[in-house]
Amino acid sequence: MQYSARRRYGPGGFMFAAALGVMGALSIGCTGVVDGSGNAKRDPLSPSSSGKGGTSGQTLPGITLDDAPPFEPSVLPVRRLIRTEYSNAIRDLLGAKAEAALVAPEDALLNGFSTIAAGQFTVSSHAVEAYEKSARAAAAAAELPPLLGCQPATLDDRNCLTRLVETFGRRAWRRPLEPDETARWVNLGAEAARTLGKFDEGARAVIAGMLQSPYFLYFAPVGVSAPDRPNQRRLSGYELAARLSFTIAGTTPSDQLLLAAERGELDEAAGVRTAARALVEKGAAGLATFLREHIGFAEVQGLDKDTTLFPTWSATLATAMAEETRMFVEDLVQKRNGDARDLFTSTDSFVNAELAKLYKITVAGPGFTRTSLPSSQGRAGILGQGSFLARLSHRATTSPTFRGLFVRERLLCQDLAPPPANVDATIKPDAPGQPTSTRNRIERHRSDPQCNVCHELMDPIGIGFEQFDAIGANRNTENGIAIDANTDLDGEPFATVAELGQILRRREDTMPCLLINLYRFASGHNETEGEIRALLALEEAFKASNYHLADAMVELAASDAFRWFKITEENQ
Amino acid sequence: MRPFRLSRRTWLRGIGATVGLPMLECMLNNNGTALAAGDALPKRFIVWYFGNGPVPPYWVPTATGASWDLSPSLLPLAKVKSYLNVASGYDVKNASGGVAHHQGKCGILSATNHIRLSGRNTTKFGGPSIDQVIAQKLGAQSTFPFIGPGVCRDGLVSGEGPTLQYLSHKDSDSPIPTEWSPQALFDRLFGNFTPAMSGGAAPSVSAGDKVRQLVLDAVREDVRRLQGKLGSADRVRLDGHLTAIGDLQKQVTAVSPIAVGTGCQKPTRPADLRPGSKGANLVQLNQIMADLTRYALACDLTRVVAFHFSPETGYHYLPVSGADAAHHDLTHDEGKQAVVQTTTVWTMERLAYLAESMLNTVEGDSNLLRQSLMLVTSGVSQGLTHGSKDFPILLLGGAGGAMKSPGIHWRKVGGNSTDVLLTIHRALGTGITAMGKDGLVSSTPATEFLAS
Repeated sequence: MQYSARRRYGPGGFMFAAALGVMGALSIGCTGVVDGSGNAKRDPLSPSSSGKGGTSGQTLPGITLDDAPPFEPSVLPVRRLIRTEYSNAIRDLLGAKAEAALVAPEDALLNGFSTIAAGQFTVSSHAVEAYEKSARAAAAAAELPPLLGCQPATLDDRNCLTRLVETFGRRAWRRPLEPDETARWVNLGAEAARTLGKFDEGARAVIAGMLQSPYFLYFAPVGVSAPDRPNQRRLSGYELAARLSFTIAGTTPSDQLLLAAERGELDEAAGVRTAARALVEKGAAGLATFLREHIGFAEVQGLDKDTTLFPTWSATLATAMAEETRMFVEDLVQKRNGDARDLFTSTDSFVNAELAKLYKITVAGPGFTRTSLPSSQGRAGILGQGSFLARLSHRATTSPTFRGLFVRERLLCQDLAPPPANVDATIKPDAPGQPTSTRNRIERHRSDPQCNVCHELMDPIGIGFEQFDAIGANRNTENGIAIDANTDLDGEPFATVAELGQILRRREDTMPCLLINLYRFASGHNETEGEIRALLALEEAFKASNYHLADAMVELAASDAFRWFKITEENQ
Repeated sequence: MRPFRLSRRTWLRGIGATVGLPMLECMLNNNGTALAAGDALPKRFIVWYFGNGPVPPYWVPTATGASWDLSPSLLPLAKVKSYLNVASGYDVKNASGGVAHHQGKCGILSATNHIRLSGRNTTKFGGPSIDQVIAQKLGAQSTFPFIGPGVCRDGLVSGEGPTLQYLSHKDSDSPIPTEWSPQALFDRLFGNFTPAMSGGAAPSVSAGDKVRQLVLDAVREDVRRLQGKLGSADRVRLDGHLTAIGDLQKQVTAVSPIAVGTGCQKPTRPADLRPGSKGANLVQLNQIMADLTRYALACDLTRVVAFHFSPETGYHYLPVSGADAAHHDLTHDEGKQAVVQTTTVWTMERLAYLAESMLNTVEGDSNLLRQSLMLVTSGVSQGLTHGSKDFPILLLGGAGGAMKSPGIHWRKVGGNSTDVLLTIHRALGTGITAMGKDGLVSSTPATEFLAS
C-alpha cells in the first residue's frame, strides 16, 4: 500500500510529523503558488488540504494525545531479511567462515530504507539464485561436529539427522519445529546422504535447505489472537524475539532470547522492555544500519571527483570519510548512548592521516584516532564531515541544492515536490574568462519563478555550506571571489555548519523527524494514522530521555505498535 | 507463431529436459527456415536503454517515409539500417506533475504513470515493464525467462526508488536487479555449459544436482505451507518466490548441449571488468556484455533481454572529448548540447556493436538480428528540458520478418508512445492488443512499421 504525503488525514508519511507540529509538514507545495512573502503555500493540487490550516513557515497546530485517532496497529507484511541481517544471522549460526562464503543479494531501498523495500518487494529470481548459492557455500564451509552433537552410526543415521534438524532448525527458524517439519527435513537429509554417499553431505544439504526456507529468509508473523482485540494479533514470543533481535541487534535471536520466548517472558511489554534493554546494551547494531541508511554516508565511496581540481581525492580518502561518520555515529549512539542532537553539533571526529590532511589537523599514530575538530573551521556533526560534504556535491563543484534538500527532506521530514517535466532546467554557464561563484551561478534558480518556489527552500540552506568545496575541504574563496556563506534557515540566520547545527538542535521538528525515521526503519513501513497515538507516546519518551536514540529504540520495541499487528479478513 | 518446443522425436535425450535446450543447427529443417519439428524460428526481444536522452535536432532524421537518411546521432547504425525503423513525434503521455526522468522512463517502458512514494523523492513503476510482459509470453520455453545485463553502473541513482534504479519491473513491487558483473553473468549463463561431446553419450544429471533439486523441492513445500497461514497479499508475494524457485530448478535441470551450431558456442569466461575513472573501460565492457547477450540468444538460453546500457538520471562519465561532467549534469548544461550529441553518437556506436554482431550471427537462412526486435529508448526526449514529447524510439531488428525491412522513419507528431509498444507486441505475436493506463492507454498499434 502506498500513501500520499499530501492527504490531511490519509495514512501518510508525514502525518505524524504534522501531528507533532513539524513545520510545513503537509508537504511544501513548491509545485504551487507563492504568497506575497515568498513562502510557498501547501500544494494546491491536494483537495483535502484546501482551507485546512497554515502555510509553510508557520507551525501547524499540534495534535495532542486527546485529538489523535484511536490506536490501531498496522498490517505487518512478511518481510525478507535485509543483507546485514542475513549475513549476521549466518555468522551467528555457522561461523565466520560460512559468512565469508556468502554472495548475498543487494538490498533495495524504498522510502529511504531497506526494511521497507524488504516488506514490500517480491523476491527476484536473481535473489533466489543468490540465496541458493550462498546457502550451499555456507553449508560447505560450516564446521559440522558442533552442529551435529552426535556421531552418525550409518550413512543416513536418522537419529543424528533428527538432532541436527531440531537444534539447527530451532535456531535458524527462530522457533521449535513441528513434528512433521522435522520428519520432512530428516527424510531429505537421509535421501541426500544416500544420493551423495556421505552422511556429512546429507547434513550439509539439510543446512543449505533450511537456510533457503522462507522460515529463515522471511520474518513472517502469524501472531496470537486476543479475544478483546478483534482484527488484531499479538506477535508470539518467538516472533517477537526475532523482530526484537533483527531490529535492535541486526541478527538472529540468541539461544537465551529464544528461551525467554519459550518461557513466555516476551508476551508482555515489561518483559520485552527488559529484553530490548539487554540487546541495546550489547551494541544495537540495528541502529547502525538505520543511521547508515538514513544519513547515507557510505554512498560517498566510489564517487568520481575531478582530480585535476582535487589532486588529494582518492578512493581511500572516500573510504576514510565513510569510516569517520560510521565511527562517529557508533560512538555517539551505540557506545555512549548520547544525546542524538549531538549528531548536528558535536565536534568529535575520527580521522586517519589522509582525512586529517583534508581537515588540516595533525593526528598521531596509524589508523583512526579520536579527535576534536577545531571550531575555527565551522564544522560540526555529520553535516560538517567529508562524507556529507563530498557526497552532496558534483564532480567539480558543490551543490547547494543537494545539500539544502538533504536538510529539508531527511533532517526535517519536509516533502518537496520534484523538478517538473518540460521545463528548461539550465544553469547558465559562466561567461568565458569570467568565472563566478556557485552562489551567483545558482541565482537563476531563485530568480526564475518556475524554479524558485522549490529552490528557495533548498538553495539558501546549501549556501551556508559554501565554505566547503566539492570534496569537503575548507575554502575562503571560489574562483577568486570571497565565499559568502551568510544565509538563513526559515529566517534563522547562520553562516557556518556549526551554527546550522545549533539551529537544528533547537528546532522542535528535528528530533521528531529522526524518531519517525527510526520508526519507519524499525517497523518496515511508513507510519499509518492508527499508529499516531503510539508515536506521540514514543516522542514523549524520546524527549524525556534527553533524546537518547537507544532508549527510544527500547520504548519502540515495547510499544503496542511494535508488538501488535492488524489482520485483514483473508487471514486464516 | 506456434510455441517453440522441441519434440521428443527431435530431442532424444529425455531426462525430463523439456526446457532450456539450446537451439542447434541439427534441429533445423533442411531449408533452415524452421525447426525440424515444424515450428518457426523463435523471435527475441531486447530493450536497449540509455539514460538522459539525446538532443532532438541531431536525433530525428530529416526525411520521413521509406526514403530517409540517418540523422547525425544515428550514423553509427549505417550497417544495420535495413533493419532500423525510427518512430518520431510520439509523446509519453503521462499525467502531469510527475517526477522528471522517472515519468518518461516508466511511461515508455510500462505505459503507466509512476507511483510517487511519500517521503524522499522516490517513485516506482505503475505496472510491469514491456520486457517482463514479453518474457511471460516468449520466455517460458527457455532456460532463463530473461536476462538483464548492464554497462554504465557507476552512474546509477539508487536513492530515488525502483524507477531509476532498475530497468526491469515484473510489477510495481517486483523490480529486477541489473547484472553489472560480466563474470557473474557468464557464470549464470554458461557455468554449466559443456562443449560438444563426441559419441553422443548423454551425461546424466549429477548426484549433486539431484540433491539441489530435492532441496529446492523441500523449500518449495515450506513456501506453500507458509502461504497457507498468510493473507492474500503475502500469498501473492510468495507466489513470486515460488516462481523464482521454479526458474532456478529449470536451470539446474537444463542439460548442456551436445553439439553447437554456428551461432551457439561457449564464450570464454571474461575478466570482471568495471568502469574506470571518467568512463575508462566502457567500450570493452560493452563488448563483453554484448557478446554474452548474443551468445545467450544464439544458444536460446533466453529470448528476452533488458540491456541497461546506461541508467536514467545517470551520473556516469563517458569517454568523449569535452564530456567533463557527469552525464546527467552534462545534459543539463545548455552550453554543452553539442557534447551531449557526441555522447549520443558514442552511445549508438555501442548499440551498433551488438546489432552488427547479431546481424553477423547466422541462424538457418536468417540471422539473429532479423529474428529479433530491439526497443531502443531513453527516459527523456532531451535531458536539458526533461521533455516527454517527441520521444527517442528506435525499433531495430526484423522480428522474424514481421517488421518492415528496409525500415522507415515514421513521424507522428503528438502520437501516443504506447502505439509503438503495441507494434512490438504485434510483431512478436504476443497476442496483446491493448495496454496502458490513463493518458498512455492505447489499442492502436503503429502499423506503419509492420511488414504486412
